[in-house]
Amino acid sequence: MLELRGVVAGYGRLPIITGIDVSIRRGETVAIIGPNGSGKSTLAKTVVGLTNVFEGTIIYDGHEITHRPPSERVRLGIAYLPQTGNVFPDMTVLENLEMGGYSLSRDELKVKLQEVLEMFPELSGRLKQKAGTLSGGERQMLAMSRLLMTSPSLVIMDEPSAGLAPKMVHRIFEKVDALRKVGLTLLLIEQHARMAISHSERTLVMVGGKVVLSDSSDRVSGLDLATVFFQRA
Amino acid sequence: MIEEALGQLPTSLLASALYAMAAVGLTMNYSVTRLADFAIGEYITFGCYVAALLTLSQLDPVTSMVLAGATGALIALSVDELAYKRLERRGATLLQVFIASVGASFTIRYLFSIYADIEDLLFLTSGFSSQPVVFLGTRPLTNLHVLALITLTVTVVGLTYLILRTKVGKAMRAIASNRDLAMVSGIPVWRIRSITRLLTGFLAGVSGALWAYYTSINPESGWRMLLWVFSSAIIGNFTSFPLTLLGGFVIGSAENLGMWALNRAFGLETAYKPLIPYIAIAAVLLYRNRYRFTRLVEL
Repeated sequence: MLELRGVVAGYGRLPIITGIDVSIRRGETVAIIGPNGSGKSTLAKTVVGLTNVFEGTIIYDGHEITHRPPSERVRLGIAYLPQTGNVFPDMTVLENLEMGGYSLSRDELKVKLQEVLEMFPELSGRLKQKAGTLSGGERQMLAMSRLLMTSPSLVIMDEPSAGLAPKMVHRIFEKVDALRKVGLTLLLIEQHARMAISHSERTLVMVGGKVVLSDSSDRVSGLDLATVFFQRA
Repeated sequence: MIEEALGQLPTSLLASALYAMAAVGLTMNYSVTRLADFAIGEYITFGCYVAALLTLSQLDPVTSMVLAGATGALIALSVDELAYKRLERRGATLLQVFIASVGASFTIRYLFSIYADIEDLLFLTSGFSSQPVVFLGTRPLTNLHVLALITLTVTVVGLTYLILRTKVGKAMRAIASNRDLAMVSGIPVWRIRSITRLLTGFLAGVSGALWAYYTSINPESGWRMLLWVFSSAIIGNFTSFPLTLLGGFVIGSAENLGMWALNRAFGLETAYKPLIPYIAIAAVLLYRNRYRFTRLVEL
């Protein structure tokens, strides 16, 4: 479904990730873990088109998307949840969701809104509230529901549980599981490495801008991660 | 004395409306593109000339003003397509694009000056005939003042509706808030940018048309308004729509009513008018971090 072949990408003229060869199958949930600065977020941004790709190709569902703009990738079914700044704070919850479904017609938007609010009922009573006034957990819920407005087939989540209380982290992962159950392909980038591994089928370990290990999550869960991170550095 | 002060009111209102309209366009452009477009002065100049020439050829002032706005819109969009967008797509920094806007401004102005010189249009007076509607003290409130205030009101109501209620307006707010998030939400950022450029150019062109109805024009008319337009936008912090409007009124009133008061009180020459926007810019830059301005409608 998603294939990165020999990808070198970064910001401006500076490469951050190098020699990335990754293949993700349809319906698979893949965790990407690694120490800070290992290039996990840059890899996610590269798939959605927010970095400069210097070498290699990215193929999604048979389409070469290496240099296509983000809005086209969204139309092809790729959705992205950024680590920070993942809602429009000065806009209401409803407006945030409308922006997620920008390409939909008025009727399609109504149907999609209902669908998404059924999945995230906690947002129903807050549609007129400014997103900036929501709690951290509620914002994350809004961000997740916003990306579902595009009816994606691949969802990339960059640290969805960052900065949240343990109870809220648990709820976020419940939602992640719900997305898995509806058959979405998920790329899950997480600092809570053990949590991410336990909610995925396969794990990629990144160190120093490279993928140093790709194995089933069951096998990776048996490894000492600190040793993996530092031995491969 | 009150009568004399009242007499300053019509000119203050007219200047305020002109500056506010162009400054709102500049603010909208900055919010979406992050570019304080220096070439806006040239869109104003084109508006001045189109309106002046059309009214001279007997077209009615309102249609001429709309066509002047359309010309401004076309020039603003062309400059973006030919210069700014290309630079941004090649990874130019905002500073580099800003410098390009200064270059675009000079290029357009001097090419137009050459054309105006050849066609004997270096100084031009429009065919608009100013008629008194009512007298404020000794000075009349003319049909031009009424036209300017109606145009500004329509602009404010129209833009408020666009920004708060329409899909395009909401997308503009989303891009202004977080461009990357807007892109990954599937908002066609480049298309919305083009719409914004059209609106910016349109408002500048309309503002130029009103200026041409007020006084004689030359290829530097827009350039000379730039300081006043920029200071109005700076009062609005380049982000707030209502504060920019207020900025237009502060600058427009200060340079007329304020200068009159300073002249009466201290004998200050009216030639010092440009001091007013400079003082406003300095005051905003000095105090904006001290006070948190409430953004009523943030673009």
